[in-house]
Amino acid sequence: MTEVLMPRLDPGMQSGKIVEWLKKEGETVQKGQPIVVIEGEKTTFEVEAPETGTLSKLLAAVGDDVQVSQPIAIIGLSGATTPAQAERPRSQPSTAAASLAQPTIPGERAVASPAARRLAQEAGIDLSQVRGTGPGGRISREDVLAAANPQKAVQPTVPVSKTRQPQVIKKMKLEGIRKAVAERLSFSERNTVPVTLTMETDASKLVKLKDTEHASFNSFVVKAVAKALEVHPMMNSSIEGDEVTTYSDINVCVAINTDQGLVAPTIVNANKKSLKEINDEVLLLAEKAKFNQLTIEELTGGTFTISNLGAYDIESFAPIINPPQCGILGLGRIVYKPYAAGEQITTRPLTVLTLVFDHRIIDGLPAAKFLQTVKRNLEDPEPLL
Amino acid sequence: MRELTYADALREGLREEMLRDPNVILLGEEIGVFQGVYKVTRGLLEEFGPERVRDTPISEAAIAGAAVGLALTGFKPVAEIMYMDFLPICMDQLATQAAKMRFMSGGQLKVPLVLRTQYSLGRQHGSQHSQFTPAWFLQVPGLKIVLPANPYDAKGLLKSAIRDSNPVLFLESGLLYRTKGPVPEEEYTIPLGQAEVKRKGDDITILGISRQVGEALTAARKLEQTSISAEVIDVRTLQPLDLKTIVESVKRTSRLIIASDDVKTGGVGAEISASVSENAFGYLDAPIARIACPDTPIPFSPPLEQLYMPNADKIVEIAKTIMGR
Repeated sequence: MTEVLMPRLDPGMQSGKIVEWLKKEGETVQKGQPIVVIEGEKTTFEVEAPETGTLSKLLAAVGDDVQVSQPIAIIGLSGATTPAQAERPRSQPSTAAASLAQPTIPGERAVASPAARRLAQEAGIDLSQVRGTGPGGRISREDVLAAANPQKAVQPTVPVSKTRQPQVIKKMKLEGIRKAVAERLSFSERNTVPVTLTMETDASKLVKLKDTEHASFNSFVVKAVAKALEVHPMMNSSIEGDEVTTYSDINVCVAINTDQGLVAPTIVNANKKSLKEINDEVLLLAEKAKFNQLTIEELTGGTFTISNLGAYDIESFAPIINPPQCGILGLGRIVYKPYAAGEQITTRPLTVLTLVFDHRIIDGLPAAKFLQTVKRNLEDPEPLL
Repeated sequence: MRELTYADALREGLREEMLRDPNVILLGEEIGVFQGVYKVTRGLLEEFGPERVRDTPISEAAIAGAAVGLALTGFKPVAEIMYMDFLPICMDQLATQAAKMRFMSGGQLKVPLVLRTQYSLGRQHGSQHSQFTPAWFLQVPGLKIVLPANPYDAKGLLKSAIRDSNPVLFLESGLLYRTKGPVPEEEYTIPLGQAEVKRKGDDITILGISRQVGEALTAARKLEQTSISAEVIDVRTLQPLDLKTIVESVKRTSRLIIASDDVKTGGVGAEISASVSENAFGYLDAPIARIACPDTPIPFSPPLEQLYMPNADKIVEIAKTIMGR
């Protein structure tokens, strides 16, 4: 008998959601054959059977959120029946309230406080039918009271007539990519010390080259940033706890918006790639992101991020740091504006570069020098070709 | 109402009882000419003379033995032992003689003595001068144990202890001597064996012992901000223990935290926890929690001692855990 465990596909993954069982209970499975589709925090993936045998028991249903390393199925020898102890564990030591709130399996003694037991006995309530919400899933006095009088339990403390409720279109749980985005950004907001620097940049040459080279503005920026990171390695770094890591690999993430939410796939060794290679890769990653086909590998390992809202007429913006990275560059639109070239007023295509960096890692002056290098790389872009 | 320090309230209690009863006699190290290490006996030698305020040699066994002898022969001695850590030297007189005489003599003898002492946890006095060990004496039937947590109680409980016809161990907290609180000028006493509900609450009961009553009240105020309503009880005496007040509170709140400055293992919290389980098991909605000191000697280093001591934040933390917050 072998247990199929919820795998951890990246270090940050806490739990995975069962999207689809590809095999039914009782079906024969071959080692290496995909049996279930799991949605992690960054993508969905298929889990393969670790052994050949009969899929004798599914321990999680579609839609269940299961903690990493918890069993989700049991593969037995062909024809063998599942032993009784292979039942799903009654309450898992997890932070998810949902898994704690499992009713007890009949016949097992429920974990309940003495007060809950006394009340249940007095009210004639079967504790195995009560959901425990206390620490470790323990059934408390309040849980028994709620079970005894469900109407009373769900009554809000403030009378409904006193509060105004806006009309709801729909409610949805924060999950999948949306949940990952929320958690990463909240982490960033709570833990980083962001400082914003802005610099106006003359994009005259860039606008011309963009057309002749058939490369996107993003591709130029990826290359310009990668080259600048070569000169300023402290910006090519990350911080976790009190440890700062500086990298020799320069892997630039490009933020891409998808229907499911924001993703930031990585252009690995961007400083060593040609503009054309970068351009092709950005196009490919954007396409994969659109169809939710990005792999964990493509979504990890970044050392710096760029985010571009210029296509939506944004003048400039300060993006949130993509933790644990040190820096992120926000790009606005390129637009013709009055420009003083010496004593002459003329117009030129200008854009604003916004660098947000984590002041815990690097100070303002070296960050300013880095941004200056990016600006120069973009104003004289020929060497990027 | 006027305010007095804990030390001055004790002093006033001693003085009033000495005026009231000529048989009340003080004895101890440095209590006369030096007026007490914590100035609890300030001015008393001058007022009552060396016959009633006796400076003794540095021998705790002699102090306790003399007190037992005085008590058996009709006096009401109030002996001071400078640090609670020195009580083991008095143990034979206290546990084997004082606590048993009344029982063994079939009630013909009485031992109305008060042994005052203090514990200095939190004052950087080191491992040998900081301990709070009330549980050692809980194992001695016949001994009353009193622990005032504020100036009002210090005076009221001391007067009752002096008037009691049994041996009383009167445990003061060194950290509280300079704290102030209201003390009425008119005569009052507080009966031994009555806990006091210091603050009403619905969700959790925090039982404070000695200095921890103040920490429990601070914790209750902090818990209020997270919508946890804590009831705070001052135990005031461990022997006799007012189990009724504690159990009645726990029956309402379903949860109990016991906060004390002694070592957790085999401490007073363990005893009270067991008694509450025996009397209110069906009302408990969470395990009874004990906030106490770790099972190590007390560190001298000020930061380590701060880390070692129970405090309001530790109470808040465990209260939240119990409440599942």
